Amino acid sequence: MVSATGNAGYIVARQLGERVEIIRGLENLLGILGTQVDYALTPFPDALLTAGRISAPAIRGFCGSVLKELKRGKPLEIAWREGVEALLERTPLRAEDVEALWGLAPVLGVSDRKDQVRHLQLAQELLRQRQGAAEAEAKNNQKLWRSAGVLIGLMAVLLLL
Amino acid sequence: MGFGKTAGAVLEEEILPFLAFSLREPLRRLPAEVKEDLLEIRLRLGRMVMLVKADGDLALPGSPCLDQAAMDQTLQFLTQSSFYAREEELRQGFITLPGGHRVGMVGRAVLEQGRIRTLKHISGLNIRLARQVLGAADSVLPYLVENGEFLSTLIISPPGAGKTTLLRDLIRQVSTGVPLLGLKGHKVGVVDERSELAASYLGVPQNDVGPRTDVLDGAGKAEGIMLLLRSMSPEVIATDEVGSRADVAALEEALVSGVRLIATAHGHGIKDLSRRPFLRGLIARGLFNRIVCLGNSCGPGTVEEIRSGDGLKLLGPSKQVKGKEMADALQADRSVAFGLRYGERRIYSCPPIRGAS
Repeated sequence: MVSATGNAGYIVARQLGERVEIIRGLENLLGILGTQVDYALTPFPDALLTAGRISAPAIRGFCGSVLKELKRGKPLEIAWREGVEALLERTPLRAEDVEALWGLAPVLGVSDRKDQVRHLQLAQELLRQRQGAAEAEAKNNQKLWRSAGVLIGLMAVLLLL
Repeated sequence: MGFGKTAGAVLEEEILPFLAFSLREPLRRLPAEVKEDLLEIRLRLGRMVMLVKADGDLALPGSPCLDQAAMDQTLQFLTQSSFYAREEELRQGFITLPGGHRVGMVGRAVLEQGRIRTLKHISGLNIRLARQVLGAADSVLPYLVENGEFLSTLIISPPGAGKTTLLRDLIRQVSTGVPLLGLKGHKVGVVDERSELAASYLGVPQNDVGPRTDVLDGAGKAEGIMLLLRSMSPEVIATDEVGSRADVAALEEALVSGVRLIATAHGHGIKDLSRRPFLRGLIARGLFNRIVCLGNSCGPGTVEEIRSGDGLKLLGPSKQVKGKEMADALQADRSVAFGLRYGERRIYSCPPIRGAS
């Protein structure tokens, strides 16, 4: 019982850390996309492919799912939304963490270079703020969850005895 | 446009994937004969989708007025969700799709230092289906070859009478060579300012322009001709719709370099050139050996007149086909040239039609 609750505590603590990493990964992704759009005028699907290749697995998965839907003939707005939904399901991200990504869905790829770069930079800034909040939360709660898991297990054992 | 495809297949595979979902089904349901004759699909915001055929236009049946959502979705598909990456093309007012189909665009022009930087609030699209008519030059080419050598040729035609179609097939045949006429394959340089001749997509010609053809896509004619002269040692240079002083100067430079030319110009017959001082000067100096006039008297693509550079009428309404050049052509192969009389042959009548769109 102590092992089970301890593991659960460790999982929650690890997810808090993962959440920070994924938000940081998304922030980097938008940075790479911005560079591809601004300097190389790379078509969006190609930019997404390039960025995905050099990203962490969760972000690579997100890029892959958007590209997959684009290849099926879906408009980018829909493919992007579906990619964000899948990302939410697969990772410890919370709805408020991906608000910046939702905001990008209707504007991606539909305007000129300057406008695209502005949208990407704004979303990047919003993600940076979310990353700060997630980092603070992880710092405060990770140790707590690790200890709490074991303590809850021990308390339960004591009560049963 | 893919070789050997039916009009329906071209529409299904090369056009529909770029249109909004709401437009696809009404277009799929079009009768085969309408698809066969389709030249343009015109999308205008808030209005009916119009289909343009050679004999007129009609509203797309079963389709409501085009709304903003359908326009936005079409633009996303047309630009592969990368509007920003097509800015250079948008500056020209059109983009080219795989298959060589051109999409003209209008909307609000964004200016920078008085010049169009890009377009926004796109309100109208004109999707021109590419059609390459293989063999369009068959009936004309014997007049343009002398002793196995291709002669510099100017094609004059009003809009829609087939000058680009004829030019495109001349490029292909001159590049490939026509053993029947003793014409060997030549290195052809094409300055394709509006991507109409080769219909290049990402630099790859979508039309068959022959095995010895180098295409400079998107370049201005004057600058492009000089670049080709310097870099690709062409034997023949082809370009569409010349007329400005700079164009003519570049053509002249090419001609004195020993390069043969194929060029086109807007005009209703040779008389129209009297109002084009730069072109008139070129002809007066005999720098073009042949002048081909196209028109619509017997439908689009009618070869109205062919003259030699010194004014001898080789084909026309008031005179039988005569001249040493014609005799040479007839000798080369009677079956090719024989029978071309005024009004009897049109360049579009030459099968097969590539892609059959």
